[in-house]
Amino acid sequence: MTKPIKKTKPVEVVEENNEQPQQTEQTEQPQENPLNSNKKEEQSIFTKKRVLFTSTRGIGSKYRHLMTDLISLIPHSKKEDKVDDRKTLSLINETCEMKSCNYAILFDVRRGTDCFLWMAKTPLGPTVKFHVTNVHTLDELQMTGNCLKGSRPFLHFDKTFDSQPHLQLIKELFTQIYSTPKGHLKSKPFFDHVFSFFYQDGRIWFRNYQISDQEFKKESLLTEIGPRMILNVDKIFSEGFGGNVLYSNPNFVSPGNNRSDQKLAKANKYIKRKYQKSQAAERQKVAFIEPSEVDTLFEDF
Amino acid sequence: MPGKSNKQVVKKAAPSPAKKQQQPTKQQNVAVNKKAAPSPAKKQQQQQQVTKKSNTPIKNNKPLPKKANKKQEEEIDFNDADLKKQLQEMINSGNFDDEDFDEDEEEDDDDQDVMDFDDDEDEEEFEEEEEEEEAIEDEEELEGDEDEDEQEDDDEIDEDAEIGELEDQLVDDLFDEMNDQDDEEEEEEEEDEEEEPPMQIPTKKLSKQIEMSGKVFQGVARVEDYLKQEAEKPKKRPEMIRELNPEDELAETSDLSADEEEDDEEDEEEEKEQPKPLVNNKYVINDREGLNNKLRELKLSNGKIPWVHTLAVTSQQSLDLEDVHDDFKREIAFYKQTLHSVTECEKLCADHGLTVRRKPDFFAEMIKSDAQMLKIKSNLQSEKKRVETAEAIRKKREIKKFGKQVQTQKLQERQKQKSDAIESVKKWRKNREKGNVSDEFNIDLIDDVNNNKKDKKKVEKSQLSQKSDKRKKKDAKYGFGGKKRFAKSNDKSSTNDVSGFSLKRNNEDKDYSKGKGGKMNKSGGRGGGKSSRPGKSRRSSRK
Repeated sequence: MTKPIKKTKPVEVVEENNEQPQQTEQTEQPQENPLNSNKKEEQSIFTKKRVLFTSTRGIGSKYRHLMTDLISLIPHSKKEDKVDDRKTLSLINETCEMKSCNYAILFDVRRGTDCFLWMAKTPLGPTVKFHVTNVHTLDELQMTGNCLKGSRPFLHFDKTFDSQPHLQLIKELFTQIYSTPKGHLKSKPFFDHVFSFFYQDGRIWFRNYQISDQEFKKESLLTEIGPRMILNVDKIFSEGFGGNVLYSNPNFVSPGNNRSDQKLAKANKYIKRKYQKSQAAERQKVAFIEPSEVDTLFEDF
Repeated sequence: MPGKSNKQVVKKAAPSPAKKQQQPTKQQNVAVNKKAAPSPAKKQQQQQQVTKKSNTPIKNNKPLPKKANKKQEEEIDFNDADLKKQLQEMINSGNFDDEDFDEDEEEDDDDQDVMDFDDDEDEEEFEEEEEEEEAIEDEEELEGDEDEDEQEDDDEIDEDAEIGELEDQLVDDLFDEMNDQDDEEEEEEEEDEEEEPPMQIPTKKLSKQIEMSGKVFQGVARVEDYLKQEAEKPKKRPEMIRELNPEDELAETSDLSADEEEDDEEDEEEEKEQPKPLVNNKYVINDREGLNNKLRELKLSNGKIPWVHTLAVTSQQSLDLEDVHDDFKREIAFYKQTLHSVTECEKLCADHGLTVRRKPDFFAEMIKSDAQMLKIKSNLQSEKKRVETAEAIRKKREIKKFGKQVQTQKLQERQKQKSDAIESVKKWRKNREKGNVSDEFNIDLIDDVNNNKKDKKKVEKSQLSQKSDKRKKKDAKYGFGGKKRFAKSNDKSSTNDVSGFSLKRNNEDKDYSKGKGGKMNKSGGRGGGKSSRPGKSRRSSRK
C-alpha cells in the first residue's frame, strides 16, 4: 500500500507547482486584493480534480473507443486497469484514493452490447448510473470538426436540467467532471469546443461541437467533433458506487427486458391470430338464426 | 311451458336401462310407487319405447342437451299430420308458438352461458347426438306400422303434458274429453319428474332448476349484470395504479417551473402515504430531499464557483421539439441552442479577460490526428465527387431524352429529301416520255435513285476526299475494285495488241554503232536502251 501512495504523491506536488504560476498569470486582478491567500485556497478546490476512467472486462471495441475519446477530451483524466469483479464496484473508491482521483467514470459493459456508464464522485457520492445508447465515436468520418487537445470546453445545459432535483444533481456532477480546471497542466488557454447536454425524451443527449469563426458573419460556426451518445438515467445512488438509491427512473427498461419484449411482440403475432380466429368462430355461432316455424308455415297449404 | 314435460320424458327414457334396474333398489319414493301403481299399461308402453331406443347402438350415458330435445319435439310436431290438425287451433292462437319460441331463446341463452366455459368438442358432441336422435326417430317411424297405436298414445300423452303446463282451459277441454284418465297419470308423472332429477344426476340439477323455476329471464338479466360487473372489475384495478402513475409521471416529466412546487408538495405527501409505488414492475424512488441534500453536499463552496472555473452555461431557451426522432429538426434545435449559449460564453470570456480564439501561430496537438483529418477530407471530397457524378449522369440522361427528339427531326428531314428526289425523278420521266432530252442534272438524279443510299454516301465521301495523284496512278497500275482474277492473263485483245512493241527497241542489238553495248543489250533485252547507271566503283566514289 505504501508504494502507490509514494507514486501518486509526487504527481500531485508537480501539479500544484505548475498550477500556481499559471494561476497568477491568468488571474491578475484578484492578486491585488488582500484576501488573495484565501482565494487561492478556494481555487484549489476547483482546480484540484481528477477523473478516473475504468471499465469492466469484456468492453467491446466501440465502447473502448468511446472511453479513449472521452479520455482525450478530458485532460484531467486518468486511465485505470479494467475491473475484474463487477460485484465489488465499491473497490473503485479505494483505487480512486490510491490514484488521487476524486471522480470516477466506469464503463460497465454487459454481454458485449449493453453499456452502463457509472459516473461518481468518490467516495462520498453521489453515483449516477446511465445506460448508454446511440454511440458515435471520434473515428467516424461523418463528424468533421476538430479541436485542440486539452482546450477547455464550454459546457452547455438544456433548460430542463434545472427543473427537477435529480437532473440538477446530474448537471452538477457533469459540470464538475467535464469542466477542465483552469490552468490545468495539459489545458490550453483557448476555447474552441462546447460540450452540450440536452434533456429530451427522458434521456440525456450529449454533443461536442467545434467553435470556429465564420467569414463575413458575426456568429461563430459550429461543427460537430464527436463523440455522440445518449444517456438514459437508470439510478442515482447516495454514495460512491454504493449506498441508498436516491432515484430510480420509472421509465427505464433494462436492455435485456427491451429485447425480450421485442421478441414477445413478434411471438404474440401468432397467438393473436389464433385468438382472433377462435373469436370469429364464436361470433359466427352467436350470429346463427334458427329457422323459424313461420317461414315454412304456408308451404303445406 | 309446453316443451318441458316432453323433454323430460325423453330424458328420463334416455338413460333408462340402468335407471330401471336401480329403481326397485334405490328409489323408494312415494312418487315412484304412485307412478307404478295407476297405469301398468302405460309403463309397458314406456318400456317399449325404452327398448326401442336401447336397441340402437348409442349409449346415452350423458344427459341429453336441451337443444337437441327441442328440435326433436318440433320435428315430432311437424311430422305427424294428425297431430298438426289437432294443434292447428293452438298454433293459430299463437300462445303455443310464442311461448315455445320464447323459451327456446331463453334456453339458448342459458346454453350459451353454460357453454361459454366448454370446449368446442362438446358442441360437436351435441351435433352428433342430434343426428343420432334423428336417426332414432327415423327408425321409430319405420317401425311405426306395428306400434302405431302405441306411438299415437305416447304422442298424445306428451301433448297432454304440455297442455297441462300451459293451463289453457280451451285446450284442456279439448283433451279432457279424449282422455280423462291420462291427465291424472301425467300430473302424477310430472310430480315424479320434478322430484326425481336431483336423485338421478346431481350435475344436471342447476340448469334444470333454472328452467323449472320460470325465472329464466330474470336469471339471465342478473347474469348479464353480473358479467358487466365482472367486466368492470379488472378495469378498476389498473385505475388504482393509474391514480398513482400520472401524477408521478407529471412530477418527473413536468418542465414547467411554476408547477414544480405544487408537484413537490404532492409528491412528498404521496411518499408519506405510499412510499414506493410500482411502475413497470419497479419501485419508483424519487427521494427529493435526499437528492437536494446530496446536491448541497456536492456543490463546491455552496455553489459559488466563479464561472471561469466551470465555463458552464444553462440556456434559457427551450427546445421546442415535436418529434425527437426527427433527426434533422432535432440537430438544428441542438445547434441553435448551443450557438446561443456559445455567444453568451464568449461574451463572458471577454468580461473575464480570457482570449477565446487561438493565435494563428499557435500550433498544438489536436484531438483528431492529421491522418484522421485527411481521411475526413478525402471522404468529404469523395462524397462531393459522388454527388457531382450523380448529377452529371442525371444531366446526361436528360440530354439523351432531348437527343432523341433531335434524331427524329433528322430522320424526318431525310425522309423529306428522299420523297423530293423521287418526285423530281418522276417529273423527269414524264418529260422523257414527252420526248424532251434530259439535262445532265437529271441524269445524275437517275443514278442517284438507282443506286442505293449507301452508294450515295460513298459518292459524297469521294467528293469530300479527293484521291491523290499517286493513289490514282497506283490504282491504274494495280487495279482498284472489280474482278482481280485473270486480270493479268492474256487474252485475244492483248495478244493482238502490238502497241507495246517498238521496232527500234527490238532492233537495238543490230545497231552496231554502240559496239560494246550490244552484248549488254542481249543480256538485258527488256531493260531499255540507255542504262544511265554507272558502275559500282564510280557510284561509291561519287558518294
